[in-house]
Amino acid sequence: MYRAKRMHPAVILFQFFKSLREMIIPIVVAFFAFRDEHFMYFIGAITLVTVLLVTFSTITWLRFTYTVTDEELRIESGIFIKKKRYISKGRIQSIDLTANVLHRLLGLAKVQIETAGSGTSAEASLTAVKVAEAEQLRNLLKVTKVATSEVGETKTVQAPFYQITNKRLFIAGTTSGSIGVLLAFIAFALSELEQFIPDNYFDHTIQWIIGLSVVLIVIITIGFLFVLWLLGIVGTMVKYGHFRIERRDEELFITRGLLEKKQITIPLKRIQAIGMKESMIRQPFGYVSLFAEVAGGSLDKGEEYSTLLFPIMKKDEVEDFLRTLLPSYSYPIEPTWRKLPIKAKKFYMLRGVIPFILIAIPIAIFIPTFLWTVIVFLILGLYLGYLRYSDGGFLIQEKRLMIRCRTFSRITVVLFHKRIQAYEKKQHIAHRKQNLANFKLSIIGKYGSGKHYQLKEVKDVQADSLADWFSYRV
Amino acid sequence: MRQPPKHTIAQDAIKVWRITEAIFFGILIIIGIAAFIISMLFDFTIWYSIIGLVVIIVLAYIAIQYLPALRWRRWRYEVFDQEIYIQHGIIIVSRTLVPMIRVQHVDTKQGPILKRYGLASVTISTAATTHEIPALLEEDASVLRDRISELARVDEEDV
Repeated sequence: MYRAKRMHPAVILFQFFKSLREMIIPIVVAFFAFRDEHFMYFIGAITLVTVLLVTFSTITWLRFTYTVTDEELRIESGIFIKKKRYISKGRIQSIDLTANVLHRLLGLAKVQIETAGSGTSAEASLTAVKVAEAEQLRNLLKVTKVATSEVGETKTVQAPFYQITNKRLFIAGTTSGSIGVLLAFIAFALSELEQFIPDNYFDHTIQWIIGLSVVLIVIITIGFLFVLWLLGIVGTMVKYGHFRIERRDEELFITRGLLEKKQITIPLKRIQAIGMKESMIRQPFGYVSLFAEVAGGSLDKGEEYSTLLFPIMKKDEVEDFLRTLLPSYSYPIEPTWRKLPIKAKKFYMLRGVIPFILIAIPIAIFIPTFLWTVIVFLILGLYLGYLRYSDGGFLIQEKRLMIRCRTFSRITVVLFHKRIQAYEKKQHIAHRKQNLANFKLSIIGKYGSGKHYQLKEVKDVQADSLADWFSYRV
Repeated sequence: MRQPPKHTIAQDAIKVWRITEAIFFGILIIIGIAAFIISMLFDFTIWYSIIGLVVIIVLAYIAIQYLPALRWRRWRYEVFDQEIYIQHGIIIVSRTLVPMIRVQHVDTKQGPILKRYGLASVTISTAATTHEIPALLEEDASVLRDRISELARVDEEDV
């Protein structure tokens, strides 16, 4: 017979603090309301609430049991309404372990079990079990039955893995600044330039005072940006510290986190696409990050939409990385892209510039002295449009498709024919006259939604040949 | 994808679209009139609401008089054994291919206006997208739904 188990008793504590945290506002309000005369009532109420919460948490813990049988995981819970949830092993998509600081102090881990369901939270979640128990659980529930060496570290063949170095992690942190930070820097540079513009409208005294305050503002801005930047570095170090990715049989296994340790498993068959991201800051230095589009699963708060496979690496290491961990996705660094036709250039440049034209109109009307900033941005917009045009491309390799495009960061994705859910070709009037077309293809994204890749203004015939490639009709 | 799909949708779709557009613009016109009355009562400039109303009425005329017929002419679909091929769009023409083995479920839907004309729409969902063929004759819609669901019943390799 299978034995029903309970979680670690620390769950009572976790549950208690969680409930307490939810009630903190009423408690604080009550404290200020009854501070003077009725303080004894307040103490009484608090004691009562505490006792109730502890009892409630304890019963919740007692009632929550889980059993692993040969076919399924059974979870029973609930105080008044008894809930039984049976998840068959075959349906389990992934088992993730997380350990925050509190967990780690007590040698515990949180286990999250996910199926292909489209819910936003995990199907089953064990708040705290012993780490050894958690790992045993993962092995028991794993669909791909593999003869794992049970005792000791007698593994002869080390599974292929990649690990981040501290130096790289630091580089990742320093270059993690998104486009927002970049824009802030540009704005700052512009505001600095402003000082050098000769201004004879004010007399010297006022000039001096304004000059002083501008210097002050500039210093504060620099300081602020610097702090943000440092925070970015620290954030990256904490989140991706000890990042390690390993290929175990038919799964990718990721461990990361300096304080909160997280272990993520990605079954290979759930991967829909692999992508490489070159952000504007990293691209000049030849650094990229790798991500995967994984079907199903839950969307944790603070997680990105795509699953990060590696935070930072040199672009020329990508091929090797993929060949080791995901051979079917590996590709040469600079494949011969099918580029966009020259006719497409004007569309891209126009699109890059339109938002700035729209901004320019009100500025020209209301504050014409600042019109020059718009012109600077206009040129940047044109340049961005040109980059988008020259980076756009796709490539068919038998049953595999590669797409490269840019909004701000340059993205290269590799995906297989069988992962594409739908193909769409779009043409507006101007496109039809020029024999151009947009195409869009959809794959499965996280939590039951779609992820779409789109390339604008390819040649009409190219879009059609892509449709032929995709079509299941012979 | 060089040839457009063969089948057109039911011709009564034009009437249905006219009615829905009329309802939509009717509501907008009521809001416009309300704005006009409020501006009158509170002595605001009435010009904004007048311009707004004129624009709405012109758009309503175009949307009710011309667009439905154009849209109908462009709307095409074709269901092959292996995939579904859909074309729609007046200014931006979109052609979509949905492989049969990627179809997760098919629905037929019928609102009060469609019901009045004996029409129904078919919605095709994959794991990532949904596609709608609007306004088919009721029988056609249910036949199509059954056919797609029959064809889509293929063993999935994975995921």
